[in-house]
Parts: sequence; C-alpha cells; structure tokens
Amino acid sequence: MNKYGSFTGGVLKALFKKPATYGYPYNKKEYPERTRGSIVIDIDNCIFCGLCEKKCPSAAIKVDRNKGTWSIDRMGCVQCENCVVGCPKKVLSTDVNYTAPSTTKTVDTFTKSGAEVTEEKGAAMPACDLDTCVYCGLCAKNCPQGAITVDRATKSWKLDETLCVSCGLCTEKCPKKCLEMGEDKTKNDTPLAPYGVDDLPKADLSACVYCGICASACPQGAIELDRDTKKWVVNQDKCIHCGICYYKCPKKCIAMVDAETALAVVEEKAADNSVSLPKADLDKCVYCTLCAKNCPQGALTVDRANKVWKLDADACVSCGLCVDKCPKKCIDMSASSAAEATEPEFKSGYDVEAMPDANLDACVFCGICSKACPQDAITVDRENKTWVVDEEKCIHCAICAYKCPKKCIDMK
Amino acid sequence: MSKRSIVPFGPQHPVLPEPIHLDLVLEDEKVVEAIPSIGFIHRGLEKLVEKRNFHDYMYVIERIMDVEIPDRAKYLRTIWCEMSRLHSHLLWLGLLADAFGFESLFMHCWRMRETILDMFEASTGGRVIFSVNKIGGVLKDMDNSMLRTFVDMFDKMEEEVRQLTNVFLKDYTVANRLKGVGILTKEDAVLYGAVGPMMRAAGIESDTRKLGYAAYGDIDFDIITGKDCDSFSRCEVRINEIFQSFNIIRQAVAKIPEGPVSVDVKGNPNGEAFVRLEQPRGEAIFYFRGNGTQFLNRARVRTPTFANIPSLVKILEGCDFADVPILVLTIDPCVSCTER
Repeated sequence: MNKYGSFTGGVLKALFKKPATYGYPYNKKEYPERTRGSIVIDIDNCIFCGLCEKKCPSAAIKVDRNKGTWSIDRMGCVQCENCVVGCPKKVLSTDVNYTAPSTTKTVDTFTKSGAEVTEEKGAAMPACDLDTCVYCGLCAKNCPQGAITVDRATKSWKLDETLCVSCGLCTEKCPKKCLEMGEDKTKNDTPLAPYGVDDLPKADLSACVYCGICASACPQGAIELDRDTKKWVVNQDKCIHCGICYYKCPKKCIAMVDAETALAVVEEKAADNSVSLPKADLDKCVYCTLCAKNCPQGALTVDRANKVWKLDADACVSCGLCVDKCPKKCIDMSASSAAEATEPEFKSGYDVEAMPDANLDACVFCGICSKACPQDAITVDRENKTWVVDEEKCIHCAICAYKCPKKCIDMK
Repeated sequence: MSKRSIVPFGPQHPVLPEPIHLDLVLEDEKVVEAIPSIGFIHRGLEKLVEKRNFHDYMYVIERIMDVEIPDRAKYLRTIWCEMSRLHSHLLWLGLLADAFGFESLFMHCWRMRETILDMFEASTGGRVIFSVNKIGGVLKDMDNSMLRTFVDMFDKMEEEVRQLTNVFLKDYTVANRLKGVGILTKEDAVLYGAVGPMMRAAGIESDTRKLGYAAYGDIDFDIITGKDCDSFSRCEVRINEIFQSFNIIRQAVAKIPEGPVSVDVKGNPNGEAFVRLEQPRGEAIFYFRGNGTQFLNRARVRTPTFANIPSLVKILEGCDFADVPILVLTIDPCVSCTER
C-alpha cells in the first residue's frame, strides 16, 4: 500500500458490493429475539401500583390509579426494561418491534376495562389486624418496595407510607388474611414504643440475672455488664434510645426511663439472684434440645441418646429463656434447688423411639407440624393430602404432636 | 503583537454532537488561549441518586455490598466492555475522518460500527442502552454458539478494519492534518491529568484494565502507547486498541467458564466504594455511598472527558484556528457523560 491512493482498493470493492444500508421503513428489518423494541402492557391484569413509573429513568411512564390508565411516552422511553424487570405482577413485557416512526411525540394510553377501577381508591394502604397477625413476615418479604417491617420478637408490624405503592401484594400473600387495603391512612395500628425517644434503659438490678443478652443485643455496644462484679451500666453517649435491650431482656427487668431517672445513682444492691434455676420435668421431657440451643450461656446439655438433661448451675444465669422456648412446657424455674436437676435418671413413661403418626381423617394438612419440626422430618402436601415422616430424620421429640392444632398426631 | 479577537466555539458546532463552549482568543489565525465552559446539560446526578433507585452502576454497588459475581458473568461483562470499546473507537475514527473532510472513510467506519451494534442487539436486546447488567451479575447469557458466531464475525471484521486503518495510518492527506498537531508532551499529560488514549499517546503506560476488574485479570494484553504525543499518535493508539479489543474478546471467549450468570442479592447497600474503570475514552472514577436504604447518599462520577478538558485547553494553545475542531475531537469528548 503506498501513501497515495490508499483508499482506492476499498472504494473499488465497495462499488461492486450490495448497499450496506437497506430501505427502511419500506423494507422491514428482522429483529433478533432479544431486541427490546417497545414496551407492551397487559392492562387488564395491571394493578396500577406505579412501580414502573418510579423505576423509569426517563420518566416516560405515567400511572393513574383513579382513572385506571397507564400511559407511556413512546419518544421518551429508552427501552431499558427497568419497568419490565420491576413489575410485581409481570404485566409488562417487551416486543421486538419498534413503534412506528412519527413526526410528533406520541403518548400511548391504556385504560383498564371494567368499572371497578373507576371507583375512587385513593391511596389505599394496607392495614394490619394485629389480633390475627402472627408476624410471619411474608408481607414484608413480598413487598416490592420494602415498605413493611415485621418484627416477630417485639410483635410489631410497621408500614412506611412514603414507600408503599398500594400494590396490594401483601394482602395477597398474607396467610392469615389479616391485611386489608384500607383507605384510612391515619388508621395506624402500629403500637407505639412504650417509651420516649430520649429515654435511657435502666435495669432493675434486683431482678437482673446479668445474662448479658441486653449487652449483646445492643447495636451500639452501649451496655457494659459484668457478671462477677454485678455491674450493669449504660453509656449514655453511645445509647441511641432504641429500646432493643428493653425488648430482649428475658427477665423484663429493663425499663426505658428519662435520662435523669436513669442516671440517678441509686444504691440498690443486687438481690441474691442465684436461687432460681431451671428444672426439667423428665416425665414430660422429650429431649428435643431446644432449651440447650437457646441457652445464652450454654449451660444446658441435652443428650438425646442417653436421655440426659443436665444443667451447669455455675454457668446458668437464671434468665428463663429455656422455660420460654420449651415446647413441652416441662421446664420450671420456681424450684430453687439446682442439685436435683443435675444428672437425673430417665424416668419418663414416654417411649423415646416413638414416631409421630397422624390421623389423616382429622388432619387438615395445615403444615404447622412440618414447620415446627426441628429436623424438617415432616412433609405435608396440602394439595395431594399427604403427610409423610422421614424416619431417618425424626428425633422423636414429639413437638409435632404438641403443636398440632387438631391434636391428630399421636406418638406410636 | 497583532490584535486579539475572541471567537466563540460551540455549544453548537458542526463537529460537536454535544454542547461544550470554548472562547478562543485569537491572534490572527493562532489560538493563544482557550477558555472552556460546560454546564449546558447538567442533570444533577448527585441529587438524583437521593430519590431514584440505584439500578445503575452495578459494579460499584457490588463492591459496597461485597457481592462476588459468578465468573461467567465477569467474562460476559468483559466481552461487552470490549465490544463497547470497539464501537466507541470506530465511531471516533469515523468522526475524525468526518472532521478532516474524508467523508467516505467516515461512512466505512460507521458501517463497521453498525455490525457491532447489531451484535449488541442480538446479545443484549439494546443497540445503545444495553441494560444487561444487574446487581449480582448479568441479566442475559450469551450461549456458546452465539459467542462462536461473534468471534467469526470479529475475524472477518478485523480484516476490513485493517484495510481501513491503512488509510488512517498511511494516507498523506490524513497525516497532513494530524501529524505534529496538538502536541501534549509526556510531562504535560501528567501535569494536566490526561487519561485514556490521550495519555497513552503521550507515552505513559497506564491502563485501568490492568487492575484486573471483571475478567481482565485472566487476560493477557499489553498497554498500548504512542510516542509522538500528537493527534496522529492518538489516532494510532485508538486503532491499535481496536485490534487489542479483538484479541481480548477472542481470549475471553476461549476462556469463558460455564455456570450461572448471576447471584441473588438481598438488602440495600450500606457503606461506600470507590472504583476506577477503563472506559473507551479513558479512566472513569465512581464513588458511591449508600445508607442502607434503596437510595444512595452520595454519588460522584468523574468521566474521562472531564479529566481530559484541561489537556484540551493546553493543546489548543498555539494551534491554528482551523485545527481546533480536530483537536477538540481528539480527546473524544462526551459532554453528556461529563455533566452528570
């Protein structure tokens, strides 16, 4: 190739080739299947939640819930597919064909057929019937906006109204059907925290067992606690008044009080807290190990094989969590002697090799047994009405029998 | 000293697809000073991130959230990155040819770029806006037969690009307009913080891809540098990078592992991350800070064009008035990117 006429070869070749362009729009182009040509909507299934409008980077989509319309500015749409990916009802999709070229800006409006959308829905937001709610968290998990917060431990259900788009998915997913799309936004059943925003936690040291659960739960590390010297102090600079310690205390000895009361030094010597130790009623105990698993101190040892329930009295902080967690309610804290509880003989009339057996005539296939099983040994299929126990997994704990609301499970 | 006059250049100018304004202080036909101004299309990204979802800038968010994406997704991203570089450089070569009046060369560059856009359409669904990345990976996979077809197409295209680049590198008309024009010395490149091909044409060996993000760590490539520091050198660097991109894509296709293309990511970013990426125009810097909600607290994007504007002002000093359009073009300006 010399420095003159370096392009001649290319020009000559191009002379005898077919045109590189084609006669659009007279000749239609074949688009590959992935082409995002235009956005289409299945308007009849649209719930007008408005998430697509929020996700649209070029603000091309407008959703009007009251009129039941969904409109898109075809010139503004950049076919990024954010709306399609974000649609909770999957009514949006992309078509390979582009919209026809036009000389004016076109806004395509789709209206849902049927009268029910024309009724004034307002900004309906879900309200929770707290009497029925089991705080399962399914509504929060399915909320496309993350607007719902469910805290099982503190039994709270909260809705962030600034985030809620009234899509109604939570009401669909609620297994207890305790959510309703109410119109009254002010009807907020969320229980307010039983303390002020500046309140500091204060422990009633006469009841405190220094288990340390509050200190480990504190997100700020504001609680200093020493078991040996019986010290419990809140660092008021670190405390953010969240009240988590208040909720987590197994002895309910923490109160949220105003700063003055909290910091007032009261010479209140801790009472002798070491008397009350848990004791299992071994006639009832099925050695499910839930008490040991939940012990914050690791003071409990449960050996299923040898049917031993053992308490390390030195490690026990008498927090009572084992009592709360026991599915058979066979642990008692009222007895004061620790010695009796250690290394007991197994005296239960209960056959520890017994397998659960459901009376399928009474069974409603609710699945509560399956969920309660610590070993996931039970499979319940509601549709096919089957109830199966995996014999290998079963640890014969009988929690299923205990939990069954129809009392149709028997240990045989 | 002859009389000074000020000539406004832009924001509307045939060579500029986007608005940047330069006040050119002339002495006769020589530019003695150029005063740039931008801000015609500022959108306020810093504010927008506070009220819009963070569905962009996947890599930075993944860094904040400590998400490790699957290897196949990394390779796919690498391939798409290099395809972007190919189309960007071919576009630039076309614009350059157009700027010095070589219309047919411009047409041929863009004809080839069109093939790459078609590949993008077949693989991602979009020609310019790919939206194929998601936090945790990519949305669409390219199966092996598609990758093989692409490699075949690139092999063919490489031949054609070679013929075109012969014209750029050997034709005397091109050399007359580019050689010795707009010299940015190595020292000046460092001083004014030039990035990308602009910096590499000044002989500085630096390429952010060498940091090994995406799959670049597994791929063998050299940093391409020029030596003459002039416009011709910048053109040469970009042409060589086109062939390098072909090479990288071939390596990536040969090495791409099987497996999933995305992982599920839960939660919102909480924390901050600072990321450097090599875009076709040079090094881009991203800084984001999340606060655990679905909106970000802070965002800063420094695009390569922004970093190259000081160098542009430098090379404009002392140039001929007629060379200004070409010099503005050699930094490969993307004003819309700059004005976030």
